[in-house]
Formats: sequence, C-alpha cells, structure tokens
Amino acid sequence: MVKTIQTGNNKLPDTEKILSILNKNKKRMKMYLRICAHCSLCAESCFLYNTKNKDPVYMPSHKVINSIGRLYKKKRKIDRNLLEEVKEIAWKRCVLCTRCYCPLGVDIPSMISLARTICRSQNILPEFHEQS
Amino acid sequence: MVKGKVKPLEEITESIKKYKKVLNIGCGGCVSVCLAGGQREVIALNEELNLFFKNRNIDILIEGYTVERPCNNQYLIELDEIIPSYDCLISMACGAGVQHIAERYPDKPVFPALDTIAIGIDRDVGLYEERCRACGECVIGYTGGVCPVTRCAKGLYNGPCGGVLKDKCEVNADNYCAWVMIYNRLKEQDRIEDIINVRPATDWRNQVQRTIVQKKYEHRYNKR
Amino acid sequence: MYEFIRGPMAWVSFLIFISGSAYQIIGFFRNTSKQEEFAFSKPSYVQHTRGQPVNKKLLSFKDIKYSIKYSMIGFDPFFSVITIIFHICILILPFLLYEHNAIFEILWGFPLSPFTLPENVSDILTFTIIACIFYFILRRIFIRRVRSITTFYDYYILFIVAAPFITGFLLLHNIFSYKTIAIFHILSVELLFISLPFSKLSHMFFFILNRFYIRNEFSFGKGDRIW
Repeated sequence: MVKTIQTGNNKLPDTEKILSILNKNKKRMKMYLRICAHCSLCAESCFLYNTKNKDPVYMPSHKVINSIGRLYKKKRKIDRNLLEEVKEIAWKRCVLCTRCYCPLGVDIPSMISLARTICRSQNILPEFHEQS
Repeated sequence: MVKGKVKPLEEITESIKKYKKVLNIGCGGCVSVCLAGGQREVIALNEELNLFFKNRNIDILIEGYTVERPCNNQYLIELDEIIPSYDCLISMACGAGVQHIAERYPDKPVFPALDTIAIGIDRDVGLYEERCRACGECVIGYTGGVCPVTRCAKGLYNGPCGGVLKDKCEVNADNYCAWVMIYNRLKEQDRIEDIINVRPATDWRNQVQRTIVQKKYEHRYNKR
Repeated sequence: MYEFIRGPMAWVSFLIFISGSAYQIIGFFRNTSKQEEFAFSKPSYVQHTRGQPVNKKLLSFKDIKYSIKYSMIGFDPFFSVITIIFHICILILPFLLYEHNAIFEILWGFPLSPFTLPENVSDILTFTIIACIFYFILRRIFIRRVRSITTFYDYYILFIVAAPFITGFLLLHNIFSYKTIAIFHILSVELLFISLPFSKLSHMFFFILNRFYIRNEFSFGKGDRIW
C-alpha cells in the first residue's frame, strides 16, 4: 500500500486535512481577505487579464475571492465540486508568475498557491497533456 | 521551458537504499508541464519504488509531496515542518530546484530523480525538443532564428563544417545540418550578408556561475 | 442620550480605534519577516552584463517615467486623480474645519491645527468628497471588473465613510433639527472609528506599511520585509 502525504480517495475530500491546512494559514489569509478593498487596481498588473480581453474573471482579486475566499467561507462543507472549481481558477486562470501588484500589500501569489496546495492535498490536479 | 526526464529506476534506488524514510519532492512548474516531475509523476514513481523495495524485502518508506516551484523560497516554506521526519530527500525538480532544496535543508541528503535536459519546446504529448542551452549570449539574430549552439552538433559559430552530407549532420544522420538550415533561411529572407562576416566564437573558458540582475533593478543591489 | 454619545461613547470608540490600529500594525509585523540579504558574487554579475557600465545612479529619470507609465497612474489616470483628491480631502477636512477647531479650543484649551479653512472652502471640500463617493458608487455599478467583485459590504463601507460628511454638512448649514443631526453626526463618526481598524478601511495603515516595508517592484524606501 502506497502511503503518501498528498493523497485522498476520489470520492470525498478529506475534510480534516483541508481544515488543518486552512487553520495553519488562517491568520494571514483572513487578514488578506479583510484588507482587500475590492478596488480592482490589481487588474492591470495581471497579464492574463490583459490578454484575455479584460475579462473580469482573470482579475487577481476576483480569482482570490472566488478560490481561497470561498474555501474559508465553506470550511467543513467543502465538497469535490467546489474543489474542482477552485482547481480551474488556481491553475487555468493563474500561472503564478508573481507579477500581480496589490496597492494594499495583499500577497496574492501566496493565496493562489495555498489554493493549489489544498487541491494537491486532495489529488485534484490539472491535466497538462489535455491542455495543449 | 525546462525539460527533463526521469532517471533510470536503478540509479534512484541505488542512491536511496541506505535510508529508512524518504520524501520525494515534486515540482508543479516546468517539469510538471513536460510530464516528468509533477504530482502525478511523483505518485507513479513512488509506487514503482515501493514495489521495487518490497520485491527485495527492503524496508523503506517513500512518501511524496509536490510544491509549486522549488526554485522559489516562498513555495518551500510549507515543506519546513514535514522535512525533519525524513532521512533523505529525492527531488523530481530540475537541477535548479534540487540545488535550492539542498541549500535550504543543509542536514538532509538530497538526490535528483530527474535528468534536467534542456530548455525546449513541446512537440507533442510527452515529446519535446531541445532549443536553447542558455549560453547567455544569444546569436540567433544573425543566424536566422536557428541556434547554432544547440542545433549544430559542434556548436559552430561560423559554419558549416566539412561533414555535411546531403543536408544532414555527420554526427547524427537523422539531424539536419544547422548551418544548411541557417543558409536556406537567410537566403529566403535575402539576408545572406548576416553570416558572411566571421564571428568570434563564444568564450567558453569562463564558465563561472552567472547572476542575473535586471537593468531596472540594478540600483537596488549596487549599494552592497 | 446626547451626553452619552458625546462623552463615554466617544472615548470608547476612540480607544477601540487606537487599540485596533495597534493590533493591526503589530499583526503586520508579526506576519512579515525580514528578508535576508542575498550575497551574490559581483564579478559574475558584472561579467554577465558583458562589460556594460553598471547603473550607479539611484534611479534615472527614464526609470521613473517608465514606472509611472506602467503604474496605476498610467493605466487609469482618471481614477488615480479622483482617489488622490478624495483621500487628501478626507484627511485634511476634519482637522482644518473651523468648527472642529473651535469646539476643541473650548474643550481642551487649544485648537487642533494652527490655521483653519474658510467656510466656503470647507463646503467645496465636502462637496468634492461626496462627489467622489458618488463616483465610486457609479464605478461599482457600471465598470465590469469592479462589479464582478462588489458585494453589499462595499456599499456599506462607502455609506459609513459618506455619513459623517453628509451629516456634518447638514449640521453646518442648520438644515433639519440641529440636535438630531448632531447626534447622527457624532454616531456616524464613532461608527467610522470603530470599524476602521477591522474592516477594509484598514488599508489606511496597510497602504503605508506595504509601500515602505514590503519588498516589491514599486516599494518606496528600503522594502526589506516579505510576507
């Protein structure tokens, strides 16, 4: 039997593991989510936002609020569908180039990477050979 | 970007067989894109390794963890608390990632599980081709977009050599001669004069480690 | 009622504001850490720039021009100007208002600031603030990227900020019952003070802390901390 740290069966997400990751980073992430002024000034710093026809779903704050923000809101009620949506946001709408700039100092890349870590812990991954 | 290939299983098992508890660190960046060292490949390699040691009745526990990009300190922080419980680490990141992990955890032996091959392009699923060797002085401006360092077996800056046979390379007959390609391309674009002048060859002697500081940010580091 | 919100309530809200701000600022420094300076070998860096002279100046005019062009001022000049005006107005108006200074002179024996604004200037500032807030509301409704992340909470925050200025204007010009409006004015300011450190209005500290302490492309000062 292979035992791995990042594992999980394919039916139900391991809530305890997600919660432990969420709680470990709670203070910082809650602070980020609280100080985000929803000002949308981060939009222009994202190259994906600029190339994808200025579609608001590519705006850094939109990505953060809808991925890590929703995970913190749902907590125990996180299900596989939500994680699949978070996966879409964390991988397909962000390449983690760390060039986004928040005037209020929110560390956006660390939030996206935490969302990715949570997906990874449940073995929810992007399919690199399907994309191109 | 960076392309790599998993090392032969024997080489990996040889390096870790002395240890009891091993952590396999994957990378979610370039090597994950070339299907060599992402989380899926980490799990697959771990299964293979566990089977290998089980068949030989060797008691080794191999676990896996994938971080976003081991070449950035920010993404290694999450490893800090799980690493102390392991005897050794193997990493499926590229050479840069493995070295960065080794630098961050000085007391843990780190072994590469991947051969980092080149900076290349994606041809097909699982099929990649080398395009750049990061020599640091790009010349493809005057060679018509064909890199003489990677595409020419001899890395000639003023080619071709005498071994061209029917447009093919004498070292490997499957490869086209880079300098024939360069000539044809420049001729089509009417800029043959670009390769008429003799260019000095790259100074390969001084292969010191390079540090990159972007022009705009030089003022930050000049004080030191 | 009036005495209560003017006395103990004001002190309580002020204390909450001070302690909340201290909590946020300490939290910022606890959540960030100093980045160790990376010592790289200078010869290899100079060699890699292939003998080009190393930029010795702190920042050239060209770099500053480039930074401005690719910063918010370059991307959205109108909004940048509006926010700058708005923030300057809300910071100076309460301190330079003649009536506030007069009240404080009666209460504590000294005014808040050595000089005050004439009445028509403070009226203009109030109108500017209200117009700016109106623009922010319109922006939240009509600009697609802002609408996509706007919640009810954002309008509530705009309301909290607008309320003291609207009631203050009504108070100065004696519209409606003076006493009721005064109660509302003091209450709205106290609400603002209480919610400031704990809502997104805390960008008051984080904007400055971020600009001066966080390592970033656009940091002023040394910027040697990382999250």
